[in-house]
Amino acid sequence: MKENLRVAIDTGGTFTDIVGLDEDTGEFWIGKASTTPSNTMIGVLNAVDKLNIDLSKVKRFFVHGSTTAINALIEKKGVKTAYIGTSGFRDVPEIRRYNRVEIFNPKYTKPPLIVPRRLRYEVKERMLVSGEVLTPLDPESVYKVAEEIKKTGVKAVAVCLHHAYKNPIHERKVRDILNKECPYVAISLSSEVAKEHREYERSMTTIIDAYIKPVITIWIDELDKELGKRGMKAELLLTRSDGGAMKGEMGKQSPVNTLLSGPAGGVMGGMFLASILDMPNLITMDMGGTSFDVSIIKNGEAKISRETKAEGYELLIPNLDIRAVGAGGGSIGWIDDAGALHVGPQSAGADPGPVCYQKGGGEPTVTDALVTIGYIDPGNFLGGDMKLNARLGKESIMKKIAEPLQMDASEAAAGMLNISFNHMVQAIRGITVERGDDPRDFSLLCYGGGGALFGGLLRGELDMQSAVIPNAPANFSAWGMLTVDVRHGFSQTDIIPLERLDKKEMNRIFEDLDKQGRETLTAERIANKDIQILRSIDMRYIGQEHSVNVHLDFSLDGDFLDKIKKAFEDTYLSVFGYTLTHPVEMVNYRITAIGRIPNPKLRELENGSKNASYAQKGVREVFDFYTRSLTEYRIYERSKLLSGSVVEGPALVEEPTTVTNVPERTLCAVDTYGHLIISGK
Amino acid sequence: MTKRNTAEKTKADPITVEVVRNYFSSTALQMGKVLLRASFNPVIYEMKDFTVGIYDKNYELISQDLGEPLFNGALSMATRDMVNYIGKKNLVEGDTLLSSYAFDTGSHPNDVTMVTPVFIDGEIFVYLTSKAHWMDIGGKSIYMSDSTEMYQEGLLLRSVKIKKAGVINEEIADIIRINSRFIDNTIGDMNAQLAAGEYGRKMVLSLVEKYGKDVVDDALVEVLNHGERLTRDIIRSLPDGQWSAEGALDDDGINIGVPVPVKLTVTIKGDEMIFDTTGSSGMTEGPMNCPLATTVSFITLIAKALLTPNYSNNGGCTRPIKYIVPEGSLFNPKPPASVCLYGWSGICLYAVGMKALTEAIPDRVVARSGNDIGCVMFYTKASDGSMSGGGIDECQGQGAWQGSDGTNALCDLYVGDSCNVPGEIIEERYPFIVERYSLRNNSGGPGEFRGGLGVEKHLKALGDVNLVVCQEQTKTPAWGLFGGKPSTMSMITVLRPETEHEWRTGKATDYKLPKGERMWVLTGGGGGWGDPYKRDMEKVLADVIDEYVSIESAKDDYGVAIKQEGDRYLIDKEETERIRGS
Repeated sequence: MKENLRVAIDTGGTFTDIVGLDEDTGEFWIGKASTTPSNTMIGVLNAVDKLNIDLSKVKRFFVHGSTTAINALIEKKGVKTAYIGTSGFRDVPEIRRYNRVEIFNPKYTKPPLIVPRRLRYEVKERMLVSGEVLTPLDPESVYKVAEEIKKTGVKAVAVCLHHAYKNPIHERKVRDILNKECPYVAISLSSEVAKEHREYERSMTTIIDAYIKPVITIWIDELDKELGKRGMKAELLLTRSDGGAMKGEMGKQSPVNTLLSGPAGGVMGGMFLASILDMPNLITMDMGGTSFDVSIIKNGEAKISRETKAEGYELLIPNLDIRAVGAGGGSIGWIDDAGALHVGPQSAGADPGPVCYQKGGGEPTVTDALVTIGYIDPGNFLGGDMKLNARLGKESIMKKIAEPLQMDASEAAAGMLNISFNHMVQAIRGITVERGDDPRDFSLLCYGGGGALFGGLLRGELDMQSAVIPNAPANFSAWGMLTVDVRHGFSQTDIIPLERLDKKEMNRIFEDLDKQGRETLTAERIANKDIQILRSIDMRYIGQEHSVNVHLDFSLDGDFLDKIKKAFEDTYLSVFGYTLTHPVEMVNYRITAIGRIPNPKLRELENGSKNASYAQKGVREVFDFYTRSLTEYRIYERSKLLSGSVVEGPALVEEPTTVTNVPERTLCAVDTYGHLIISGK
Repeated sequence: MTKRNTAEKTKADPITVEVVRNYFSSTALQMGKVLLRASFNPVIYEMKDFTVGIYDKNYELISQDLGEPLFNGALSMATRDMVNYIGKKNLVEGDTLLSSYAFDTGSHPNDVTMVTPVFIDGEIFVYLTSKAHWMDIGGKSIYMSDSTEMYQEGLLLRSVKIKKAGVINEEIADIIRINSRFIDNTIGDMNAQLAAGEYGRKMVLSLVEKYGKDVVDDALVEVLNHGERLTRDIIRSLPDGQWSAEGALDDDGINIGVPVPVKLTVTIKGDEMIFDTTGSSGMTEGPMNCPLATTVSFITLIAKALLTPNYSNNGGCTRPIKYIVPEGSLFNPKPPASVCLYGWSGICLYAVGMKALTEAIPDRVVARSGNDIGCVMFYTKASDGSMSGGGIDECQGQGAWQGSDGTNALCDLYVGDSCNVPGEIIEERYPFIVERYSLRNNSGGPGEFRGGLGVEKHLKALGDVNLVVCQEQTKTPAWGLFGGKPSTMSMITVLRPETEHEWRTGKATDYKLPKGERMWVLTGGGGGWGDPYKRDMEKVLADVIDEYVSIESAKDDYGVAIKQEGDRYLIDKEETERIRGS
């Protein structure tokens, strides 16, 4: 009987995946239920019921990656929200940065306003860039706004005052007054949500935080209640956009941090595997139905970005730097008005999905191409649970792609895959190049429904070290959540030239940030011994805007200015490939407060013979899209493969939810834990 | 990288064409990222006053990044002229050319242009070209509205090798250093442009190694032919005919108050469009002269925006676009004409072109935007004589179009994905405090679809600041279309407002704003579309509640009577019907 469980649930666009782990043996079970978009909690509870696990046996935690926050934003189902700015600046969230994202489109419009002008107010106050008060906050101006808010039925207020990241005292006073005057209103302060300069990005982050706060609070409370009814006593943890997790209570306080947590699970799992496999440099790629998502793990840590965008809105939240391109299984092949072939970015998604799903999809997709030329066995999809209609898929490729281009269906399908494949190549190249990294220094971790089909080829094309296919790649995002740590980021902008940096002052700032980190984790009942604080500083050459994040993972004894400068130069060199002789300045001080949670145990496989023929179940002719030739692939059954065996390409390794493509001139080794590791011959 | 067994192939199939297209377009984007991240001045990294393009051996655009669209068309001609000047045979692998000469680059000297040829088998295969606005490259001031010959505008370098066979030419770099008021900024930006070229070169070589030169070459031919086919098909679907429109610049910066006429005649004939600037002013004494490369860039941009806005841009799209631009005129000046404000003439030409095509393609054009970009450059001198400076542009209200209000506070199309300098950053970097940054109430042109609102920005100087104000179209409201009204106010700068020295102006060079005094920049709204009396009265009410439109304007311009009861605004239906009915 399983006495000690850990559970992760990942709500995706189509399916809600659940993974249960026996902490004692490392055995795990996977299950899924349909996602219920109107109230994702129902899908979560269905998944729990389907896996039939006893929630009272969940000892450590129950971690959940939810789309509730992002759905509220996408569907504009947050609450009626007001905005309070400094006198003269209420229009900042509407002016934005005034840029035109579609540069040739004379009819371009900005994303819709979340707070209409009539609900944007100003209070009389002014802080200087130094943090000194120029004009003290006039309480009367706040009371006036409070009166308005009471009349309008507003349920949440975002407060973003000029330079509040430097001195939050006025924002706090505004909150005190609002709390007294309209206690039922949720309040978000920019100095707490995103303590960084740039008023538009900070205001937008604060607005979205406020806008979804009441929705998230209700959802967490209900989920807690329902799970409690099923006997669960463990903590509910929510995944964050930065690849960490936080307790549900904390999620209610800063919901904006859950916004982009959807694809984070896989990256968390990636960081864990980076250490297990001793592959500190991993590029993760997740090929799902609608997109192909890439991120970078370097020296065992995922790259965290400080800025991002969601639904067209700029956000200043720490997030895993995950780039998506339209190269998923549902990406559509199409020919434009002047006869050129394209694939994506439009997607048939999961509904109606590819033509071969027979759910009403009429446009040929990447999945249809995969079936047409033999990579996917239409009779064995989802372990035979879902029959694919290969003929319909092929017909649509024939009619919409092959005939207009005067090719046969195989050539056309191979062409679609080739184009999609090259989008993936460029996505990986883009994310590495921008940061001064070289794909050749990385291995590729491949998951999602389609990752295993393209990983081996991407490895070859980009000359990467190896491609790793984890267990149950289609459920890897949920599995990855089992490996999560509790994590919070805090930062403080304080711009000062390096040469004028005072060690005492720097330590004071860091100690303040550390204190916030420790207090937050302690409130989440993380034991002191499990707390780790990582310090870093954003630095730049004076005159430049873009800064680099310098990790302070070395002792500052001795000549600390020289040491910091050296660390900056090393980091700068790795990003830009050169250094300059210009003076340097500090921009933001940051800490990451981590509450370590013991990693799950992994189940080990028995040893098998090197020759994997015992797991071979046949051969199949596949039109290889990469070499554009009809090739005979050996077909293997993954569940039969044992540790130490090696599959030689060209081969396909099948499992219920996906297929691993082992290309020609590559070898695929099975490790102790059952990971497939593809490398060059 | 593994080489596929396509070496013997010379023809590209449709799949390879698409792969090559995407490869070049992501290479251009990545080059832009390299330039942006390494650059040293906010005019580049915030306002994105730069662009990167890849050109084929016939100097036709293959792909570009998302920088300034107005730069891009000019670079085709600039690349050609820079290469011709030095002579193709004098170029070797690893060379990079640099030019600040307006009659090659199409721009004022600050817009430094670099060309890096990429060689395959000893022959030039493509050119990687970038243009970026350096903060200072000499000249009588950092910017100016009153220059009368090019020699006053900055250091002139004509197609010199800043990099020779892979090695930076320190002599040229030294010439630049000694000529710049902001050496660090300038050399930083120079390095950023060189880094972008080097990155692009590696990427192109890697692609050719994989597919072979002939296949890539063949694919590029098709990529451009595809752009041409798309454009010709669309032009063919438009009615044939000839249309003209006119506008004017306020003045040339020297002859104050004397308008400078701008005229554009557009002919649609079969699958081609011809743009003719005949009837526009001759060369101006002040710096409004717009070199031909940039004139052509604005013309092709009009066509791009109206014909194929949703397709990526390449030289094929411009093949069906012809132009007639008389030599020695405002739009095709000769040296040593001054050109510092060349862009402002182009902006006017763009608006006039859109207007000319209103009748021909009413569903594609938009009403005029708030006209101008509200550019103010400034510098301060420290007691030791050292200088620091910067520049801030603004957005404007956009014109309305069939079925939609214009967008509030959005930059114009020709500056692309350009961003503002945020108020908090202005205060971090520059000697100003920002007292207001808001929409400019009531500035949108009335119409059934209302023009977007411009903005107002109030700055107070924290020290003695020297200003260079460059604004145009302060006398021309943004016109509406199909009965839509012009915006009520166009761009203006108010220096030292509410004092006895108050001065409302469009252009000023080296104006001294003393410590503690103010400057307001007010940008124009967009023109309206359609009869404002036909605007849904609920929309008018909403605009009044949001203070986009005043109660008075609701009545006077839209014919909607709105009354206030306590805190609430209500439509007076009877009164409205009476006004609108009459």
